[in-house]
Amino acid sequence: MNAPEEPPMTRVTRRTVLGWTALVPALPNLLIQPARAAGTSAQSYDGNIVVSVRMMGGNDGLNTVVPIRDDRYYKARPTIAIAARETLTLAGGDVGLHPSLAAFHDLMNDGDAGIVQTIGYPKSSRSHLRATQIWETGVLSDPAPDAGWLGRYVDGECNCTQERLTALQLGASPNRSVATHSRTDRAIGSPALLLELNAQHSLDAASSGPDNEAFRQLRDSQSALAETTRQVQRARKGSGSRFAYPQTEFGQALRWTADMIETECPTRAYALSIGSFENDAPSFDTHVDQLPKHQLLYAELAESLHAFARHLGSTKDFRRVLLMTFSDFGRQLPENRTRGTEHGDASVLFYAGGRVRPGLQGRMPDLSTVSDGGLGYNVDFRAVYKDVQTHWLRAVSPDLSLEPFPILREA
Amino acid sequence: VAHSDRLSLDDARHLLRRFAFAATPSLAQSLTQLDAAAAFEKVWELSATAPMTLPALSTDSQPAQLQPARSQSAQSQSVPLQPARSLPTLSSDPSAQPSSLPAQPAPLAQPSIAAVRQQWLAHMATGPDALRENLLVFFHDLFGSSTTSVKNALAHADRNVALRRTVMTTVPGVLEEMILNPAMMMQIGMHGHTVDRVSDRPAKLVLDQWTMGAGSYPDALVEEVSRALTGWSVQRADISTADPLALERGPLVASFRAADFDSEPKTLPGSTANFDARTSMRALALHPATAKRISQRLLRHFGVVDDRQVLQGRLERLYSETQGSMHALLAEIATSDAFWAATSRWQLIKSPVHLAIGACRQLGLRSIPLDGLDIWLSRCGQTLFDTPNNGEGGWANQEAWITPSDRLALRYGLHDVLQGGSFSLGFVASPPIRNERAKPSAPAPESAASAIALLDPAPGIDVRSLRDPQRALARVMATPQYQLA
Repeated sequence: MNAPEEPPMTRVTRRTVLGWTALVPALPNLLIQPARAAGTSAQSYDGNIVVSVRMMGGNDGLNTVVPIRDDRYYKARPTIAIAARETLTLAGGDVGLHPSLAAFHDLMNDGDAGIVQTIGYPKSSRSHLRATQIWETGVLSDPAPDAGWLGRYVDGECNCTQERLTALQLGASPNRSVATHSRTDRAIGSPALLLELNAQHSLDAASSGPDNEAFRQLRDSQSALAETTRQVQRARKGSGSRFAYPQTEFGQALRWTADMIETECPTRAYALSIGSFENDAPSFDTHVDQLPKHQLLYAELAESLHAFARHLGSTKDFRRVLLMTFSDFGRQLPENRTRGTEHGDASVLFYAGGRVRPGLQGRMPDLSTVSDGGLGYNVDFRAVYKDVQTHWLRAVSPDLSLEPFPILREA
Repeated sequence: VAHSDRLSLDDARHLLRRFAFAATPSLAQSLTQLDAAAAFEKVWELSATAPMTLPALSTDSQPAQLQPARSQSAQSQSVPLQPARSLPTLSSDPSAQPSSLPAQPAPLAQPSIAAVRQQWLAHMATGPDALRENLLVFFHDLFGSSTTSVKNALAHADRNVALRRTVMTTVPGVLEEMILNPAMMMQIGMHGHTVDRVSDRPAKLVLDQWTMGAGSYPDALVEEVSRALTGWSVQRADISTADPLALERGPLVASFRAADFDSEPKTLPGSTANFDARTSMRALALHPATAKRISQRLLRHFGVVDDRQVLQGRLERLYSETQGSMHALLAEIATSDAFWAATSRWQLIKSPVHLAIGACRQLGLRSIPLDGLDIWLSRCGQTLFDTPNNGEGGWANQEAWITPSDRLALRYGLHDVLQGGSFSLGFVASPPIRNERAKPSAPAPESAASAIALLDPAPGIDVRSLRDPQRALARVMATPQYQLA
């Protein structure tokens, strides 16, 4: 008898761990305070919040918001174009939404979500590393600063010596938008794993060690365990389990995020990722067989955001949340010979929240002006960041200089 | 440490932590009284002269019985690290295709990918060739790999066989071997990459991850390299079949078909010629941008602080002079002022693999709970044969290993895992992970001080905090100091 090539129990990655641990019926009830009752401590926060979602790999904006009346699109993509009849209707009728984004389409129709079309920046990079740095920092110069655009807000606007957990990364894949210069940002990895392991062992205080940055990072990480764990434990009192979050790393990371928001975690900026360069899930780097990857990823994204909106809507927290995505770059107009697309330039940005301008923003791409296959941008992403810095986070010293591009309904 | 100085015990440990996973007491002692160059040569020779013998791979018709190669019971099962098949042919004759092979597969014993991972772990943890295995980790980190893209476990095992043959030669030698290695061909998308079906993907991966690095080459080079990589496909060595699913099992070979090859001239940096996969790889491997990138990655892997890039500059020149000799590059690192400087010591955060393998070697474990160790490594973010491709390739290194949840796994799980013990895996549906055949027996230290001496952590651990000698090993292994090399 042939054994399965990869027994499930030996095929554990951080990605699958999240899904499995979500199935554990009840972890020990440790040090958990009632969520709202405990939420009035100095460690709570009820102001505006940003959730940044990195779509890893470079999302193809043209198969997201499909130019259904442009023959150039269909000629350039004979095998991977989305037929007009399959798309979801968007205002104006010149473009349609990818069918796997139906749940996000519902959010748009409800007035809780939108998409910025053809967003990019001058002389865009087609390198994953460099492009991601640019999007995460909002800075085009090279080398990039060590702090992300949200991390700089946390550094400059929060009282970081007094407050903790102002910026959090969740999940195994990095999104350094919340990376701070002050090193007050925290990367949780898997909240479920954090709880599970901490349930079994007490924490030791770090002793002295070498006088170098590596030891300080390890020691700081160790001391951060306690406060992070306390917050995660408190978030278990959130109501996320009642909503239909996908059992994926991103879906569950977003559920934890919402549970933390619901339980008044002091965090102002969260960073998550969808898609992975690890190997249990597809990424948006769709050089090969783009269509099935998009079906999975768009459904995961849309259903996660839909559950997130419903969850936080039920707790009246959605009004203080703005979720926005970014991706390394868009893809080129022509499909390649492996039913995929190559690295390009401008793409789309999804956003959702209780006080956003719903629907499509910006102009649809002009397919007559592609350069080396890539789309030119109409909206500079830094202008969107500026809008968020100025009108959402109300930063005293917003550090981006462009005129804001409005995605918010209320100033 | 000046070049001619004899190494102290602390110096010897520093060298071994970086080059051989960890400092074991006897080996560290044997390096004292040697100078840096001689000590490095000894470490190198231990690997260069070691027989390349691995524990046998368990297959789906043979339950897992992995034991270290040096144990008595494993000797009879050990397999030599010789190529399982002849190397791929460069023949342009289509008849060279395995068309005469039978169409029906013979009954085939196929290992799982987990078994291949565990075979590697067992060898890393117990074999005499620590530096060679460390270099395998380095090249895995450089290339990126995926068990989703390459589902064939034998192909992964064969890739490691090929790597072991070449990692102690030259960088171009490794890259030339890898470009026609079936697992790597499937990984980067060279399988079925023909003149009329050219994708940028293989060339971009080769340029971004294997050689020059993202941003170090003009876009036009992608097309030239793409064309040079045409003509090759991966086929089963034992049967003739067009079924792509057949490639997920069984032995694989690389096969060339002239009609699929773009025979027009290609322009690579410095010359225009009819480059093919191997010659283009050599040209890229010898490019100064590759020398720079490999030098940077070696310094990162071996944890050398070189802020002024003096050593990096020397490595780049040496790379050019020696055509990427691994011995020359590593010897230069091991005898450099930067390597021995105080700023380079104890500042490298061990990867989970280095942490775990180092612990196994220090404890002298001859029987490793491989299932649990394999899973623990994955939970800490380092799954062998699944190196992330983040655009540049590789595990993110250093502080990327530090998240609160990973730190917990690192701190509290390792000792229990190595004892074959009760490290919970957090999901109730599965039975406890134990390897009943593995009954490790780490020595219980006589005192807390002896636990510290054995495990060689960074300074700063208060011996008084280790009251229970029976738990002293576990507690030292859980300290931040032990995570540093």
